[in-house]
Amino acid sequence: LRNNNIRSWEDPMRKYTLLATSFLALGLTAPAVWADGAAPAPLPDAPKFDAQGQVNLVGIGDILEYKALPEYHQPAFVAALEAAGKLPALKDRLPKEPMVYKTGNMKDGIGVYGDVMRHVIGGRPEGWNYWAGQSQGWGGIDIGLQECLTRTGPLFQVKAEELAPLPNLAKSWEWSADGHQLTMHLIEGAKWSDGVAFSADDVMFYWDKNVQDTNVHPLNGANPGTFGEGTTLEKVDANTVKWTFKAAFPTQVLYAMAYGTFCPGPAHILAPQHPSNSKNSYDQYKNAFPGDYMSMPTMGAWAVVDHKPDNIVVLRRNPYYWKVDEAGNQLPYLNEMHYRLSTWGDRDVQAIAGTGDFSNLEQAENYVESLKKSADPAAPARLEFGQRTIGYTLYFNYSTNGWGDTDENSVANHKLNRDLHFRKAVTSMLDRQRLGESLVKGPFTAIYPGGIYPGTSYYDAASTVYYPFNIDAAKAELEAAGLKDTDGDGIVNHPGGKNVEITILANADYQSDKSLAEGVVAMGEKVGLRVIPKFLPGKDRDAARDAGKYDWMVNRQGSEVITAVQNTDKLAPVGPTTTDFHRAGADGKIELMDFEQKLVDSVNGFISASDPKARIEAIKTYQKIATENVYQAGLTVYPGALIINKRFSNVAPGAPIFMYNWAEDNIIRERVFVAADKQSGNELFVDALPGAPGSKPGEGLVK
Amino acid sequence: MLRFLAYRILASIPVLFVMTLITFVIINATPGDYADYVATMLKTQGHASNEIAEAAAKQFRIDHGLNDPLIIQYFRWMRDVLTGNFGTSYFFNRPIADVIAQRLPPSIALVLTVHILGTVIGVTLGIIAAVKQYTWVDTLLSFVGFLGITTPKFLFALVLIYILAFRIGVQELGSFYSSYWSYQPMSLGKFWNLIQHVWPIILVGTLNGISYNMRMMRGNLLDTLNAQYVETARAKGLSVGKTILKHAVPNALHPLAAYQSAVMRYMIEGEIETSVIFGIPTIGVAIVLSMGIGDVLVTATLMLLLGVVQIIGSIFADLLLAWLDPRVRLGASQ
Repeated sequence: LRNNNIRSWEDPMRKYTLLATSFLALGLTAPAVWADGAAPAPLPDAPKFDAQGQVNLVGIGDILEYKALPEYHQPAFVAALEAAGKLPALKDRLPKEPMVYKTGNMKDGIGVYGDVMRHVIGGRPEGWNYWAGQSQGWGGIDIGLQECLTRTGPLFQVKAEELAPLPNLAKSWEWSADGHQLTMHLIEGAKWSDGVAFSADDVMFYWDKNVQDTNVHPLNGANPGTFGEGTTLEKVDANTVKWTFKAAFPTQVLYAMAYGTFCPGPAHILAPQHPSNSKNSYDQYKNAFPGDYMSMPTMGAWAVVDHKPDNIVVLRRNPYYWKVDEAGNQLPYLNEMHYRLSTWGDRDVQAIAGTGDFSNLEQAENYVESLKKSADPAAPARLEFGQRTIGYTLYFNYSTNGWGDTDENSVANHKLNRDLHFRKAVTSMLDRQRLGESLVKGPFTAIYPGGIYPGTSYYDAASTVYYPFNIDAAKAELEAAGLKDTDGDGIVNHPGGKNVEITILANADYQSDKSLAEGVVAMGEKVGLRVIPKFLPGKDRDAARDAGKYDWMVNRQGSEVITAVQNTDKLAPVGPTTTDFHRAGADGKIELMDFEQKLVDSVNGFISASDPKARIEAIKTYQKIATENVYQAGLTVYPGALIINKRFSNVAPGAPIFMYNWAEDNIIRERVFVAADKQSGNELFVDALPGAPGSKPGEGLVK
Repeated sequence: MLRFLAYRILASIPVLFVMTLITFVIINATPGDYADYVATMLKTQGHASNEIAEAAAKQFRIDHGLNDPLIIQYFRWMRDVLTGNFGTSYFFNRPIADVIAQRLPPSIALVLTVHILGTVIGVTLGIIAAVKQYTWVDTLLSFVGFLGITTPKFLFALVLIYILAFRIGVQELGSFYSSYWSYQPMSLGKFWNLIQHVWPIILVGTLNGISYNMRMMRGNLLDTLNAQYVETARAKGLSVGKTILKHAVPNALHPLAAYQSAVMRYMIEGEIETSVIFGIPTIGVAIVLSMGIGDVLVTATLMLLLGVVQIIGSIFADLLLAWLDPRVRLGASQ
């Protein structure tokens, strides 16, 4: 066009013709550029493989119920202690109507007593006052010791139409007609592991003196807002409490009543140490139950009886545990739990070798070797892959108002992040197949476009927009964003001059994070984007993330994109600091983009909706807007593998290592057992039960 | 000699002071702190929201004075050090002195074993290699020594753990004892269990030590064997063996004696890379762990300990040299 018309430029008629042609050409070019840009395509199906367990979906009533049984049984050594007068009769230790696990939902049926599950963890117990903020070492210790009003871990096997938290300490509940009040009925006649009755007083002490007292900071951060601003709780009678909410039918709070924000502690032990009842300071209250305080009363299946610092924590069965199987056998089946105090990395190695019994294998680089090893009939452990619930995404930093770096280059990059053409360029430049294979070859990883994970309860394929790998489309979108290589050095330039140089933040402690970031760097180079790695070790990476000091970040996703009902506020900036990619500046305001405002609305709609259909619609809207606008560029998604010693029975097939909770909760450890001919003989405190609260480590056990 | 000793000890005090200051500043120079670790654990393990996790981190900083100017934090720690209380570890929630007291003896025992084996076998092989220079024995030992020096210990450890855990299915991995034996009093059975757990670390460390000592001893001894006093000893009619062992070897040991100052510090670290890979709770693992999560007082205290040991090591090396070499002794007395 240009060559044909230069010669005729002087002719006025030709000039107008040229202008008209030019406008016409421009008019045609715009859709042409659009057509050359990123275009959605159907999301390829995730590959299937044999090692991936298939979940048997059931209703809540198929898993458990509460009822009295005609007879109850216990391990022989506990019966002997009872006969010796060291324990009350079993029927007096159990509640009026214990929780009964249905045999039909137990893969291997009714179990037998004995043996131990040996965990290896990288944490260390700070002490046992979970309710005042002490970590007990993580890795499943706290999940086992604290029983909560409701339970979410086993929900991975609950049908979508019945999806709601399982009853637990709260055996049932009902809403008032206007939806502002929720009456909860606690399990009646249950006892703490020291034999003291559990009641609404324990619930109220937790609420009044730990959650409501702003000087106390429970470990997982329960505060009045966790259950809705303005929410109140009152005791109705010894076994009933009543919630009053500002909003109608805030059903989502039932999830907050599970691990780890509403797990009441033993008021008869805690209350005397609380500053309101003693001369203790709040710090003294927090530290009143240090690491060498044994047999801290628990509603969990096992109580801590020994702690050798930096070596091991040992738990023995709770003779007052309030759950049974359908034959009336008091749970747990396993007599003992070990937690070797080592490193997180050591956990996988020991589970594979067979010196540990349990691990959540998350590092995809280890999958092939671990599978090969477990395929050997003589191997001690087996691997079971769950749903693809481990995923990574590329976060764009959207802040231009002072959160994070405020230098000219960073602000320019953050403005680019706010440009849809730029984000489409980024998502189109990503060869997600290769990114997945950079972690592990084989059928493990799947293409993840962003938003809610494919295959999970709230995922909707029709609402998911996927822009496939297309270098030409990526280049076209960059051009549409105004980025061209004006100096011929292979790197596109900001309008006006400087090369586009983007930092990508990743966690240097994990090879998966680094591999993905390196992949993004290499793929950026192909389209003329210079991406500069910024790999920082864990805590430094977290500090940089929370301060917004990055342009892009490789992020391991959390429960918000798996379950949608947990940490929902992380899906969009509904508050000034709820997300890690867009926060308020010093003025407390967030510069929401138009589509982002719609995302915020849909998230708020989801949180406030009580009607399941309305919630589904709200999350569909979120998914559509988020993926269409490439809110974050999904990278890859893959399943974690549960490594568990082959001697254990009753481990539900397809149990994910993380979904509503960690695998330690998901597999319902209290009903896991070891067949008599497979028992390992690794119990350390044979035929012993927890002693009096405050016993010294390894001492004072009942035997 | 006593004056020399007193001088060295007094001179080390300002060195230690400056070292603690620099170390403390460097440890705190990275952007994150233990409160970030607290927030991360709340988010990843406890599913806490950003706001809750960051509120907990903020509270942790207030409670532990992490918002105070660095110099105040430094002097607060120095006050604890000078009063014999090294502070409390955030991670272990125990006095730092307890953490060190628990990890130090096994760390020293482990590395002392590695060091003695590495030195005795290495020096012996070095003497053999020097005496058998340019024979197949020398070539073989040189090859082994080259491999031992050039193969990083962490790589060797990774290969070893892969074979043990993934291929052979060895059951004694991680920690010093199996759970059962950690509850038993010391006995032959318990000692054997200890050996079953730590032999890979001893193997990796010893092979490295053998290679280093062998190469150094071979070179030193070859130099010494060419010295005039060796020829004189032979001319006096002394046997080859006596000449080597009584005249050449003591002189060839000088650089190895000087090396002891570095070895003392290394001993405290407890075969750091191999211990991390095998999950053995040595002091070195505590250093790596505390640095990773921002448990700064533990890191700073362990660095101080390493500094003290380094100084003691260099004094010890000087004394060892004086004992070995009459020229140093005489020089010192003059």
